[in-house]
Amino acid sequence: MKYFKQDSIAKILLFSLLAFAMGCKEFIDDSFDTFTGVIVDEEGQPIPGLELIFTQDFNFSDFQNPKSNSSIYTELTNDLGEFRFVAPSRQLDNFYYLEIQSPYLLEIDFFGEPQIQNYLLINSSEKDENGVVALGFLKAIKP
Amino acid sequence: MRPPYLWFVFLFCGIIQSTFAQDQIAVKEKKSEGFKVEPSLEFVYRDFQNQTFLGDVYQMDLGYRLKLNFRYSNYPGIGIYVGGQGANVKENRFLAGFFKEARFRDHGILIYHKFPVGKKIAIMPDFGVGWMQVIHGNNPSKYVLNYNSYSGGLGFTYKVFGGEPGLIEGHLILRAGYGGLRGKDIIINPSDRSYVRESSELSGSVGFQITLH
Repeated sequence: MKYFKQDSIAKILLFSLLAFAMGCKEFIDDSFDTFTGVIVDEEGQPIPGLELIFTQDFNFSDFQNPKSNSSIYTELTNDLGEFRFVAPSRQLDNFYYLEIQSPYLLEIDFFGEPQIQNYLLINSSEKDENGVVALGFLKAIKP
Repeated sequence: MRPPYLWFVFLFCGIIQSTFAQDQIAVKEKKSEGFKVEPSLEFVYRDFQNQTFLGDVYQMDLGYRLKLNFRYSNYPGIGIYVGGQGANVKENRFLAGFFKEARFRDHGILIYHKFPVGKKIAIMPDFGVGWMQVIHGNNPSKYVLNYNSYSGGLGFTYKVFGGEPGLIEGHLILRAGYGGLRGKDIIINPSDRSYVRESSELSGSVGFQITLH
């Protein structure tokens, strides 16, 4: 009986450790997240050839003008103003920044109020069954 | 006019040769019958199809493949295999720069047949289905992509030793193969789906096979 108890406790501990290890897994196997959108101007016309930086490494030390320290991808919007960034799906830490290059700034809806900034915080929590986070039309303005 | 004793010598030689030949046939038949186990180790180079995720993203190193084949007499055989291969990750727009290297692990089953074309040479076509994993990083930051594979190949074997009954035979193997890969469970946007999920490969390998009778 004593042996049975020790064996059961050992098994419970082992399963707990395995569950913990699985829960700590950073990436989701066989899954990619995709962030898509269209950059448009104030008239709603697409802006082609606009440089965008997709990153997780953003520096807010200059609060008025935050900048990316490094880039995961740096790409230009296509002729239709579209962009698409793909990354392996993550369990946690699935936040990214989309930085727009000067002279443009993004007009962001911040709790119903328009806010002008050079970046957009995006995450994959609202992705569809294909792993796509559709950001829709993002308005870029020249201040 | 040949001396009469020469006829006896010819007759004796004929009997000996006939007996020896029958023994050889018997040995050959004996050797070709029964259960055979054929383990092998091959060094593999594979090249994935360009314009696909696997072909564009990974720079493959030399890999290995261990096979354990079984056959009865001269019937087609069945085998199982495991393989491994390293790769460098090239700049790409899918893995976000999270990984610099990857490990390919594959395993599967195959059917094959050995057609002798001489005393030492045989042709060995095969067809197999299997599973391949592309493993990036290590726990807890491991990221795995799974593919199903089907492949066919044509191998040539050359016997370098053995052949006596009860002895082990050793064969050099040279093989070329073609395979298809499908990652049907990979979740990705529809625009990139076929690019990431589908690929094909050409492979070449050299190795050594042992036949145990």
